[in-house]
Amino acid sequence: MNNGKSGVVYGVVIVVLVAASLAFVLSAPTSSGGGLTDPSGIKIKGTIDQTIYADASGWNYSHGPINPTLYFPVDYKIVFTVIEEDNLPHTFTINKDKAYTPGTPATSFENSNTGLTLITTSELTQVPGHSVTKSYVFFASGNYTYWCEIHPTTMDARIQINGTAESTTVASGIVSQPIICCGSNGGGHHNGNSVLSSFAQISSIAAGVMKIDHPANLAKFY
Amino acid sequence: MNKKMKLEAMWLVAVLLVLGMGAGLELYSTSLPNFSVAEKDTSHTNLPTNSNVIQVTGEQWAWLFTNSTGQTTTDTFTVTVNTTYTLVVQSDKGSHQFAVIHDLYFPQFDIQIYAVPGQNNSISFTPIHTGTFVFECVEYCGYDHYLMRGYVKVVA
Amino acid sequence: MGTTVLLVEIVVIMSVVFAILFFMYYKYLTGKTEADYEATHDDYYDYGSYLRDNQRKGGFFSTNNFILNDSRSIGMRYLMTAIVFFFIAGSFGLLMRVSLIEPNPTLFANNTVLYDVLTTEHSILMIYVWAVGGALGMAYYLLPSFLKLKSDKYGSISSTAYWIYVLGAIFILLSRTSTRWYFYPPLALQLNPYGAGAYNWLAVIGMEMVFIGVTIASIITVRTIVMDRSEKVPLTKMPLFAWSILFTLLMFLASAPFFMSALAMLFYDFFNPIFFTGVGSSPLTFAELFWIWGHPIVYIAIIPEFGLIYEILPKFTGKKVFSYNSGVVGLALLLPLSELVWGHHLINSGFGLHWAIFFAMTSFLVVIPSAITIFNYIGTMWSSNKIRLTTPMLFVINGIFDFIIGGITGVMAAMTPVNEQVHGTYFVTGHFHFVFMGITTGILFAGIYMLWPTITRGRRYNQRLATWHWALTAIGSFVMSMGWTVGGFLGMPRYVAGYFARYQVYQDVAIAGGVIIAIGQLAFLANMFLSLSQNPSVSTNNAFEDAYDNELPFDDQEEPEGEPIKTPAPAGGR
Repeated sequence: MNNGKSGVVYGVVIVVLVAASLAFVLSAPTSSGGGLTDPSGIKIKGTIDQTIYADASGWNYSHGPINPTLYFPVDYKIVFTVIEEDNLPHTFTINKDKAYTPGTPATSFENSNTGLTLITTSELTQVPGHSVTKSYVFFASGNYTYWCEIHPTTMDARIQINGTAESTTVASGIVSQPIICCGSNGGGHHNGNSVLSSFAQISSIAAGVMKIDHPANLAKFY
Repeated sequence: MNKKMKLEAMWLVAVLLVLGMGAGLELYSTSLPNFSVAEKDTSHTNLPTNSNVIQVTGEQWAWLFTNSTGQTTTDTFTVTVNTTYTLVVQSDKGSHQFAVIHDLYFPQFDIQIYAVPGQNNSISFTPIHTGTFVFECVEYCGYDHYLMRGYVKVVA
Repeated sequence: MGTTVLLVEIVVIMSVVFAILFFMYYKYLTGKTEADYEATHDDYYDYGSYLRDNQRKGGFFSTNNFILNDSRSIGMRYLMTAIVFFFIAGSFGLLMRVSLIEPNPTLFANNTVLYDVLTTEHSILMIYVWAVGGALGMAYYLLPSFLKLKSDKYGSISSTAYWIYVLGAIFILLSRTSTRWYFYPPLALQLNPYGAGAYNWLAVIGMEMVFIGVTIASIITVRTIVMDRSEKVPLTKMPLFAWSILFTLLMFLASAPFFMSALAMLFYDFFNPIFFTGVGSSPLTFAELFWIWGHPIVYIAIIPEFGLIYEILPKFTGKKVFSYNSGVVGLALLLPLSELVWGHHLINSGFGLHWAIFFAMTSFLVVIPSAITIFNYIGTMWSSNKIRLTTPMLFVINGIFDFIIGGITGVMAAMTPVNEQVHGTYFVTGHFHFVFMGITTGILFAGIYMLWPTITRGRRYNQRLATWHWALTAIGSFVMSMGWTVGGFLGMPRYVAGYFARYQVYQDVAIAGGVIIAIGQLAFLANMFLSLSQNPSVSTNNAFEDAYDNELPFDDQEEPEGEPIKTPAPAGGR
C-alpha cells in the first residue's frame, strides 16, 4: 500500500461510491403518479367502483339497506364515490378493527387518531347531490370500519376485505414496513387548477388515489 | 498611528458609513405607510373591521381563500384594485395527519407570510395594478409542494 | 425468508465485521507498539507525536490513515471522507439541477419526491461532511506543524469521534430523507413518501451522530490549540489559521447544543408527539432552535477557509498578511455577532416588525468583520510586487470576488422589506452558493492543491488540468449563482420540482452553470488519476508546513519592516 499507486484505488472508490449512492437514492420509495404501486412493488389487481350515499340518519339511508357492510377483495383499488343526501357536514373515515368479534357495535372500533379520513368535511360541500370520489387500496384482509366523524352514532358500518392465502402473506410483508402511505391529494382542490393552462397537472394524482396498509401503525408513528 | 493603522481605520469608517446607510434605509422603508410584515395575531385583536379580510388556509397541497361573504376558492382568488386587503393565514391538516408549515408568497406584491399550525398570521397589501399575478408556497411542505401555487386576479 | 436464512446472514455479516475489526485492531496494536518503542528511543513525548512527525511523508491514500491515530492520519481521514462525499453530494446536485430543465417535472415526472430527496441529501452532506469535515481535516492535518505541538495523546478519542461522525453521515445518506436540511417538525414527522421520507428517524439519528463526532473533535482541537502549543508559538503569534479554527470550533460548541437538543426532542416526537406538534406547542419553536444553530453553521463553513486564505496569500504574494491584528479581530468578531442574527431567517413567520428590525440591524453588524477580513486580503495583495497566479492563488482571488457578491446579497436579504421579497426564493440559494462555491469549496480545493505533493507522495499536479478545474468551477459557479440570484429576485421559489414557465430562462442558465461546474470537478478527478500514475518526482514537503518549519530556509518571506526578528515568525505573524 505504500508504493503510492494506491491512490488510483481511491479514485475508483470515489467513482463507485458516487454511482452506488446515486442508484440507492434514486430507488427511494416514492408513491408515484396515482400511487398504484406500493414501495415493495406490488401492483393492484384491479379497480372496483362503490357508491355510497351520505345521510345523517345512516349511510345509504334512502337507498336500500342502511349502513351496509361492504365486501371487497384484497389488493384492489376501491373507488369510493360519496354522494351527499342532506346539507349537513360529513366525513368518510376508515379504520381497521383489530379484534373483530361479531355482535359488538361497530362504534367501539372508531378511533379518529388511528383512522384515515378519506373524504373531509371541506370536500363534502353540504350540497345535496354533490359527490366526491376518492380511492383506497386495502392491502390486508380483515375487518374495517367506515364512519362519519360528525355522526358516528348513526353513520357507522363495516368493510370486510377477503384475501386469498397468497395475498395474505404479501400483505403481512407490507405491514412490517414502517412506510405508511397516506398521500391524499385533495383532488377537489387541485381541480381548481384546470383553468390555469401553465400549471403542471398530474391528472392521476388529482384522482386522489391513496392507500394505507396498516392504520394501527399511524398511531405509533404520528 | 502609522500608515497601516490609518488605512485600517479608514476602511472601518467606510464600512460603518455604508452600514449606517443600510440601517437608515431599513428604518425608512419599514416606516412607510404601505409597508406590512407578517404579524402573529391569533386573537384577532388587530384586524381591521372592514370586509376586506381574506381568510387563507394552507394545507397539503392547496391554498384555500375565504372572503368576507364566506365564499371559498382554491388556489385562486380575486381582489379589487386600490383596496387594502388583510390576509389571515393559518395552516390546516386537511386530510393528513398533521398541519405543516407553509409560506404564502406573492412575488409581485412584495409580501410573504408563513402559515403556521395553531397560529394566525396577518399581513396587508394594496394592489395598485390590475391584472393577473402569481403566488407560490415557498416553504417546503412535502410531495406536491411545487403545485401549491396559483393566480390572484386584480380587477378594477 | 425463513428465520434460519436470516440468522445465517446475520452470523456471516457479523463474522465479517468482526474479522475486519480484529484486523484493524491488530494493525493498530502492532503499529502502536512499534511506535511506542521508537518514540521512547527518540525521546518523544508520546507515540502520537512520534507518528505525526515521522508519518509526515505518508500519503493521502494510505490505508494507514484509517488505522493510525496521530493527528495527521486523522486529518487525512477527514479530508478523504470530505472529498468522497463532495463527489456524491455533487452528483446529487447535478442531477436535480438537470431535472429542472423544463417548467414541468421531466426527469422525475411521476416521482417528484426524488427531487426533494436529492436536494436534501445534497445540502446536508455538502454542509456537514464537505464543509465541516474538510475544515476539521485541514485543522487536524495542519495544526501540529503550525503550532509545533508538544504532545499528541488524544488520537484514540479523535478516532472514535471520526467513526461516529462518518457513520452518522452514512446514516443520513441511507435515510433518503426529504425534510430539507432543517427538519421542520410537522413535516419531518410525516413518515411516508408523501411527507418527508419514510426513514426520517434515521436521518435524525445520523444528524445527532455527526454532531456528537464533531463536538468531540472540536473539544479536542480547542484543547490542542490552547494547551498543547509549543512555547515557541505564543498566542499572540499564533498562525491566523489556528485562530480561525479556534473561533470556528468555539462557535460550534456554543451553538450546536441548541440543535442537538431540538433533534433529541424531535426524535422523541416520532413516538410520542408532545414537543413540537402537541397541544399548545408551536412548531416554530423548533425553527427558532434550529436557526440559533443554523446561522452560525454558515460561518463555521467559511471561517476556517478565511484562515486558509491567510496562509495561502503570503506564499504567492511574497508579502506578509497586511495586518495580523485586524485579521484576528475580524475573525473573532464573527463569533459573537453570528449568534445574534438567527432571526432573519424567520422574519415572515409572524415575529412582527420589531423583531424583524432587530435582526436586520444585527445582520448589518456582521458586515464589519467580513469587510475587515476582505480588506485585509486586498491590502495584502495590493502591497505585493508580484502575485504568482498559481492554481491556489486563482482560487483565492475567485473566492474573494465571489464572497463580495455573496456578502452583499446576504446583507440585502436580511433587510426586512427585501427579505419579504426574496425569502424562500433562489435569491437566497444564489447568495449562499456564491459563498459556498467561492470560499468553502474553492479554498478547500486550494488547500488540497497546496498539500498535493504531500498527499500524493511527491507528485506534481497537472498544471493545465488544475487551471481548467479552477476556470470551470469559477465560471460555472458564477453563472449558476447569478442565474439564481436574478431569478430569485423576481420571485423564483426554491426547492420546487417544477416552476412557473416565466422563470425558465433563469433555471436554464443555472443548469448550464451547474453542468460547467460538474465538468470542472471531472478535471479534478482526472488530475488525481493522472498525477498518481506518474512516478514521484518532487519533494513531499508542502508549502503550508514549510512556512512554519524552522529548519527550512524561509525564502518566500521578505524581512518585515522594523527590527529584524531572531527566529522566522509564522507567516502572518508580526
